[in-house]
Amino acid sequence: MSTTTSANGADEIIRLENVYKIFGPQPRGRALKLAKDGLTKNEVQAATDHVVGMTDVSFEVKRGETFVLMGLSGSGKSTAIRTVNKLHDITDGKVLVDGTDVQRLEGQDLQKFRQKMGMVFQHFALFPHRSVIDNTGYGLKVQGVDKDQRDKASLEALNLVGLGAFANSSPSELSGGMQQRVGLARALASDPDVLLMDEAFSALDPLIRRQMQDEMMAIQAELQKTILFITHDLNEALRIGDRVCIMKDGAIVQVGTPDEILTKPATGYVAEFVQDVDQGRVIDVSTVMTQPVKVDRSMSAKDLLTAIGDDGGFVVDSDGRPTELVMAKDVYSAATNGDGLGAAFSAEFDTTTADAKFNHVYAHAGKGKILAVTDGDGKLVGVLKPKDMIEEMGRVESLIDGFEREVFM
Amino acid sequence: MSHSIRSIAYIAAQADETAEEVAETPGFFDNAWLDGFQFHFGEWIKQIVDWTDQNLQLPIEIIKWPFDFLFELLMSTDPGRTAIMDIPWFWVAIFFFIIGSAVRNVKVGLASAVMVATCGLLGPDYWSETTKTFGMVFISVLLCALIGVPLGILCGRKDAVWNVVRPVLDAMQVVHPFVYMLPFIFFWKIGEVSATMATMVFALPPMVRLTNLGVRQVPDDVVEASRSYGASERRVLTDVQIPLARPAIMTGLNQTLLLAISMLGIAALMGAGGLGKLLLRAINSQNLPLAASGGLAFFLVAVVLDRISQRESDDGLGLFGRIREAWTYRADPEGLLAAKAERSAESAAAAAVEAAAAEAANVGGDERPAPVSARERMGLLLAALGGIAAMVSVFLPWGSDSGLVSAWGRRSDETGLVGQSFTGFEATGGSVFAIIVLLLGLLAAAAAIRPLVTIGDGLPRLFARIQGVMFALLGAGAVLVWVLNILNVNFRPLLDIGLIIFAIAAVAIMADIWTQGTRRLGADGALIAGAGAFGSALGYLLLRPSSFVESYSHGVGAYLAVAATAAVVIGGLIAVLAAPYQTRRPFKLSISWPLVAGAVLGLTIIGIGSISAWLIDQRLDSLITPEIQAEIERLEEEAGDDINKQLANGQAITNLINSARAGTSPTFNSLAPEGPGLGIPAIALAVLAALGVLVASGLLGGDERRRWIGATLAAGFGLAALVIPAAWILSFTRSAEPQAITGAGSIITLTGAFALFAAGRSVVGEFVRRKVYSDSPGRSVADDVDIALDGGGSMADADLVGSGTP
Repeated sequence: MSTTTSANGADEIIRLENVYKIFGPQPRGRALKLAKDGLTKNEVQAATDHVVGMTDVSFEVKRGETFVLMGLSGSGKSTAIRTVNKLHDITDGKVLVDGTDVQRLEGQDLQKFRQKMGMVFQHFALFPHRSVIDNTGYGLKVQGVDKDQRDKASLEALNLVGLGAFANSSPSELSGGMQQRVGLARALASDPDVLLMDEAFSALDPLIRRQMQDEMMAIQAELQKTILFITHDLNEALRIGDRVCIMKDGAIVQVGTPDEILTKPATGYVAEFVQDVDQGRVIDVSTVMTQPVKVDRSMSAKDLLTAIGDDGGFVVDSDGRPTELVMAKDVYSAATNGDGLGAAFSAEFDTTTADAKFNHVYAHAGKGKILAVTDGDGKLVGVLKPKDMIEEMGRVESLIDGFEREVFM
Repeated sequence: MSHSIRSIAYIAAQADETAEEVAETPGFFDNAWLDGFQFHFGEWIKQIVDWTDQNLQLPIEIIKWPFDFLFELLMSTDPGRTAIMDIPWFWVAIFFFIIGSAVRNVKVGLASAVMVATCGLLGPDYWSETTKTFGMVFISVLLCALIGVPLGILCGRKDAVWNVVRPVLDAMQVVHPFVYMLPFIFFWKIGEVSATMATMVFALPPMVRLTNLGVRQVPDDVVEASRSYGASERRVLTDVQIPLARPAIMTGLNQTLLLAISMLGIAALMGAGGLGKLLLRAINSQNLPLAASGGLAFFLVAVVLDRISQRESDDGLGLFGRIREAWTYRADPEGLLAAKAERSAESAAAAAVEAAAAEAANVGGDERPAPVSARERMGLLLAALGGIAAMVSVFLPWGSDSGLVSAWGRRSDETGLVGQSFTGFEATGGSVFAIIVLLLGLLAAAAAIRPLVTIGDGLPRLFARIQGVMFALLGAGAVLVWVLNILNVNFRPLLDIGLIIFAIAAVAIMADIWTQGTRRLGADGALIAGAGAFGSALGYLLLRPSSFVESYSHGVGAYLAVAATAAVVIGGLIAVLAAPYQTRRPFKLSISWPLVAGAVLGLTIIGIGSISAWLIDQRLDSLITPEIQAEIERLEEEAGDDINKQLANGQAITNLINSARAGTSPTFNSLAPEGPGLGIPAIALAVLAALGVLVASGLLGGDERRRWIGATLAAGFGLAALVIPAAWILSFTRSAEPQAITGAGSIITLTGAFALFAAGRSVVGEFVRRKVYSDSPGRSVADDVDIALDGGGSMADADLVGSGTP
C-alpha cells in the first residue's frame, strides 16, 4: 500500500476522459447539454426526465494499482466500471484502455478486448448449471483453450483461493463466501491484465468480507494486477485501495490516496464519510509521529529540560536504537526529591514501528509516556506524544465543523 | 358466405322501407334509420381471400408442406406403409413406459404404460383414434415448439420484437377459435392440416410467452458475466440464457401440450381425426357407450402426455388442477411460474425438513434397519414360501372339463372340453385370476425376503447400468424400426429382439427397485400383496360355473393357490405383529374421520356394485333381432363421416335400440344364484378391509402400532376385494365374445374396493421400519458436534481461510 505509486510516473492503463452517461430515450439531447452545463443529477432529472449516470467523470488507473471507486447507490460507480469493458455505452467522452478507444470496439474486436479482463460481481453471477471448475474455466473456454489446459489453469486458480477440493461441486452447494472465491478464481484463471471488481465483497458477512479482503490483498501482492474496485464501504475502500475515488450523483468528488481522503476531505460529503471511519486503521504511525529528542545521561537537569521541554527524550546507543526513556516530570521529581538525576532515566518504555497502523498504539495514549518509533532496523526515527495522539483522534470531528452540514440521503 | 351477407343487406333495406311505412314518426330508440348505414367488411375479406387463393398458391403450399410431411410420416393412410395407427397398443405402451421412465421416473413410466394399455383394451376402434390423437398432439406440439422457442428467445432478447409479438399473442388467445377456423379451412381445406393450424394458434402463445419470460428472468449479472469474459452473443445465448431458461421453456411445452389437448374437439369440427371425431360422432348420434369410452381414452391420453411432460413438483396437483392452472394463467406466465416456483419451493422445503430429520437422527453414527427378530423371521419365511408356492400353483391345472371364467363369455368353452385340464396361464384355465396370483405372489415373496438379506453397493449399480444400456438399445431400435418402416422394409425378428431387450430392462428395473429397497418391501408389503393374491385365488375358487356348463371340476392348482396365499397372509400377519415399525412423524389427528368416512363410503359403493350388473349377456337377448342389428349397421354405414347424416341416422338408431329394449335385459348381478357370484367373496373381503380401516382411523383406540396393523390389513383385504372385479373385467377382455360384456357393477365394486385399499395404504405409508444406530469407528464425537453446529457456510469458510491464503 505504498502511497508513492500514484506520485511516480507509472504508466496508466485505464483512462476516462470527461465521460457522460445519460439514461433515457434521448440521451444525447437536452439532458446531455444540461449536464455539460454543470447542472446536477437531480436538476437534470427534474428538467428532462433523463437519469444522469455519470457526469464529467475523468480518472486514470495506473498499471499494477488498486484503484477504488467509492460511492453510495446511484452514484454512478457501477456504471463507470461497466464502461471500461463496454458493458455500457457512454453518451459522451472517451474511455481508453491501454491506448484503445473502447467505444469504437465492435464484434470480435470487442470480444477479444474483453478477454483481457476479468470481472467479479456483487452477487457472484456464477453459472448455476456448471460445476465450479467449469465456472472457473469459462473465460478460457470462451478463448478456445482446450479442456485439459483449461482445467489445469482453473485448478491452479481455485487452489489460489483455497477451493481446489470443491472443483467438481455445483455452485449452489457452496456458501456465499466460497461462491465469491469461485468468482475471484474465475476472474484470475484467464490471467487477465485488469480485474474489474463490482462490489465484489458487499454481499458477504462482515467477517467473511474481511477475510476476502485480506486474501485479495495477498493475491494482489503476488500477482500485481491492475484492479478497479467498486464499493460503497469507505472502510473497505481505504483498506485495500492504493487510490480512492469518491463519487456522488454521477460526479467525482475527490480522488486521492487513503491518507489524503482522511486528512484532507475535499467536501463536507467526504468528511461526513470519513467521520465514520476508524482512522487509526488507515493512518500510519509515521504521519502522527514527531522528531525524536535524543539525550544522554551526561546532560544536566537544566539541559535535559531545555531539550525535552514538557515531554520526554530517549537515550540511544551507537546504532541509534533507543535504550532509555527520560520524561520531563521525572526530571522534576528527581530534582525536588534530591535523588540523583539517574532515577529519572528508565529502561521501561514502549516501542512501535513507523509503518504500524495508528490504531495499534491507541492504548498507549493514556499511559502518559512518549512512545519510541523505530524503523525496520530498530533505529529510533520518531516519537509519539500522548497529546498528539489524542489530538489526532479528535481531528476528524473538528474537520467536519469546517464544512456546512448537509443532509445526505 | 357472400350470398348470405347480401341477403341480410337486402332484408335490412326492406326493413328500412317497412319501418317508414308503419311508423311515420320514428322514436328515439328506433333502429330502422340506423339500419340504412352499413359497410361490407365481410365482402372485403372475401375478396382478399379469393385473390390470395388464386394468386398466392405457392406460399400456401409452402406453409402446408411441413404439416403434410409430418402427417405423411406419422399418420400416412397409404396402405403400404405402417403408420402409428397400425402399431399394436402393446408396443405403444412399452414405448410410453420407456419415454416416461427416461424423462421422468419409473413410476410415471409404469403409470403411462398402464393407461395406454387401457386405451388399447377399449378396442381397435378406440385405439386407432387414440393413436391419431397422440399423433396430432405430437405434430402440433412439435411445430409449436419449433416456432415458439426460437420466437420466444428472440422476444426475450429484443424488446422491439416482443413489443410486436405480444399484442399478436394476446389476440391469438382472446379470439375464439371459431373466428379463425374458416380462413384456415378456406386456404387449406377441411382436414388435419387446417385443424392443426387452428390448434397451433391456440396452443402457441404460452410457448412463446414462457420462453420469452425464461430468457428475461435470467439474472442480468450472469449474462453480463458471460459477456464480460468476451463471449459472443451466440455464446451468451447457448451458454447462459437457454440453459437457465430451460425450466420455463419446459413449462411452456407442458402448457402448450395441455392447450393442444383441449383443442382436440374443435379440431375435430375442422375435420381432424382422432378421439375428438369419435366424441363428435357420439354427440351427434347420442351414443352413450361411444361417448364414455371415447371420453375415457381422451382423459387417459391427456393424463399420460401431461404426466410425462410436467415438473416433478407438480405431481401432487392432479390433471384437473393442472388444466385449471393452465387456463387461469394462459395469458399470465409470470403468475404461472410464480405459482410453480412456490410449489417447487414447498416440496423442496418438505424434502429438506425430512433430510434434516434424517441427518439429525443419523448424527450418532451409521444407521441401519432394526434387526429381524426370530418371530418376524419365521413369519417372513412362511410368507416367502407361500408366495413361491402360489407362483408354482399357476403352472398346475386350475380346472378341467370346461372353462370356469371363460365359459361365462365364450360359448366354445362351455362344453366339449371333457377330459382336458387347463393351467393357470390359459384363458380357459385360471385366466387373469391366476396371473394376478402369480404377480402378487412374486411381489409378496420379494417383499418378504428383502428384510432377510443385506445387499452391497455393487448390485444396484449393475442393475442401473443394465437399465441404461437396455433403454439406449430400445431407443436406437425404435428409430431403426421407424426408418425401416419408412423404407418399407419389414424385418420381423427385430420386434422379437426388442421384446427380449425390454424384458431384460424390466427385470433390471424391478431388481434395481428391489435391491435399493422401498419402504413397503417388508412384512407389511408381503401381507398386502399376499392378501391380494389370496383374494384372487379365493375369487376363482368361489366363482360359480356358468349355467350352460355341463361339467367342471377345480384343479389342484386352484386349491394350492388358495392354501399358499393364505399361508402368505398368515406368515405376513405373524411378521407384522413382530416387526419393529414406527411412524415417520407424529399423527396429527387422534381419530381420522376422513378414514371412517372412506370406510363407510367404500362399503356402500361395493354394496351398490354387488347388486349391479356384472355380466350383460346379449347373446341371450332375443329382443335385438339380427334384422334390427343389420338395420343399425346399415344406418351406421350409410352415415359414414358425414356429420349431418350422422345426426339424422344416429337418431334413427337410438329409436331402434330403444324400441328393441322394451323388454327385460339378460343381466346378472354378482349375488344372483344363476350369476357368477363373485360379489360374495368381494363383500366378505371388503368388510374385513373396512374393519381394518376403522382400526387404522384410531376409532377403536389410539395406539399407533395397532393402527398400523389395522391399516396393513385394510390395504391387503382392500386389494383382495379389488382384484376380484379387476380379474373378472380383464378376463373378459381376453376371452369374451362381443355380445357378452362385463357390467357396470364390476367397475363400481372395483372403485369401492380401491377406496378401502387407498384408505389403508395412506396410513401404512406413514410407517417405516425403525432404524438402529451405531457409532462408526472413524468418526469422533467432535466431528458430530461440528456437523450439528455447521448450519450455514460460515464455519466452512473460516476453516478454509488458513489453507486458502497462499
